[in-house]
Amino acid sequence: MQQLLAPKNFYLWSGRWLRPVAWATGLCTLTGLYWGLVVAPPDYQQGDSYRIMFVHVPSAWMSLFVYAVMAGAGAVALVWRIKVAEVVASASAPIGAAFTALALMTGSLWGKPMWGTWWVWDARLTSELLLLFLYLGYMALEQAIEDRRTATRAAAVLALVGAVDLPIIHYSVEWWHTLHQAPTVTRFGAPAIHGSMLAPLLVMALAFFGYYVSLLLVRARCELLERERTNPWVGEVCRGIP
Amino acid sequence: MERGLVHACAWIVKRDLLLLWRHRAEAANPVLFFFVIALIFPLSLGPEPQMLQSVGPGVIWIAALLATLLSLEAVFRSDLEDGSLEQLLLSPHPLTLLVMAKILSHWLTAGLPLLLLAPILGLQFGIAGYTLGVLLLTLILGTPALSLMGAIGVALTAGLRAAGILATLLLLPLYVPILIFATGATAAANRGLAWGPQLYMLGALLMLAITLAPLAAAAALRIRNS
Amino acid sequence: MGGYGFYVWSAYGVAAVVMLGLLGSSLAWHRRLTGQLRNKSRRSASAPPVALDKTGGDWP
Repeated sequence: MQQLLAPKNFYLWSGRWLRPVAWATGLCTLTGLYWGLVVAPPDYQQGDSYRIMFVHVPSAWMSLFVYAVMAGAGAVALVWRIKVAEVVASASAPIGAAFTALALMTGSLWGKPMWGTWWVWDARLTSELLLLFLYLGYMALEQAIEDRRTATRAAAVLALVGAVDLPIIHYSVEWWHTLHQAPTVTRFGAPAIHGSMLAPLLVMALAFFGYYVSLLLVRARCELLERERTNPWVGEVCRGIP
Repeated sequence: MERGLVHACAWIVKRDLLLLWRHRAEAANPVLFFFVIALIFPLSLGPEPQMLQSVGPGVIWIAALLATLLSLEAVFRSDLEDGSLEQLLLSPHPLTLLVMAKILSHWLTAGLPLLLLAPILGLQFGIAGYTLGVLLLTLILGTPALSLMGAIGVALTAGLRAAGILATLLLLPLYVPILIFATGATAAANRGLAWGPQLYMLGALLMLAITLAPLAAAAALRIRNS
Repeated sequence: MGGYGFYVWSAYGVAAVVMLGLLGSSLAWHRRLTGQLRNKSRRSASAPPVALDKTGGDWP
């Protein structure tokens, strides 16, 4: 396990696992899509519009999960200066930001037919918006600092501060929302979700997770090559010399 | 506390205050900014007294937030330029505590003036005396927290191009809870509801900031200047 | 889609665009990088060897 932390080993190992994970993800996605769009019955209250949930909820879940990974990898990078942790953190940021943006856009598309407006200051959407800014801030900071290792370590500090603040932000936004509660109760998804809807949701969640892992491996490998380009193993690996 | 450390911290605060005094005109900028931002709101929203009274506390808090962000860059920028930041990093005293001294001097020069001048704005917005008192309490608890967390942002971005804007971008999401509880307290006070819990939350956030922010800012300084 | 077609398909569409787009650009990045680094490595491998040690010891 510890040998995997050496950049070259990680690069080769991830290269071997990328294709299987990607194929499994693809399979999961097709299954989930068919199940969610075709098999699952329409909702009693929301009709067919609830099917947006199958991309909205996994996006939102992943947006939080990826932040946790980013902060965790950042912590490892800060404490032990492990290069693989640095690239995992750095590679995760744009993916997490994409999930967050997706959660917002799909949430908006779900909200319009349900509540009549494109944007609602719902607690969860507002928290999600702030999360997006946390991601963008992370990426902006990393880009602004020249030395890549320093940049990632500085951004790791930011990610950790954000990680501590995130539950506080969410709690304060929820409190704020209940204070200024709109007359109509806003709530995403059925309170007790039916099994026929839960199952495709979980499959799609798994598919999104697999997507994250695959994309993380691709981007982490790129980051590793860039950061280690002066190291001889990079040239050898690119020429196919094992 | 060890005598040398106290002396070092006191010296940092004294030096920053002295530097500020020598650039008095510059020092007034955040305060002027505070006023201008607050006064733009009636100009764009209309002078209707009822409306101004209800948005007043929020507007004043936004103005305080932006004015603080404006002045934060100065915490480390001039030190970076004249080399005293390097001296701080080389000092035998724990960097965390030295950073705390710098944050204190920032609050004395930026937060405190806002606190003293907020009542004037409060009167202009027609905020009731009781609500104004609560507003001041939120500012007393909130502005140090803004300085503390702001130090993390400026430590991370010290010396970078467009550091001010970048730090603002990084800090705004982190500032949201402070803003929410502060304005929540004043809104509650205005309606005659309980505002104690919100103030307790602000106090808790301040305690958290005092404990963790100088540490994070010191770590950020070390990373950026290794 | 019971009249909600526009919203549902837009949501899935935007998800597809974002996710496939990010995937595509990441794969392109990898391809570009490996190409660059491969060429760079080939060039330095075929570069003239450095002069030997004057003491006659072996290189490297």
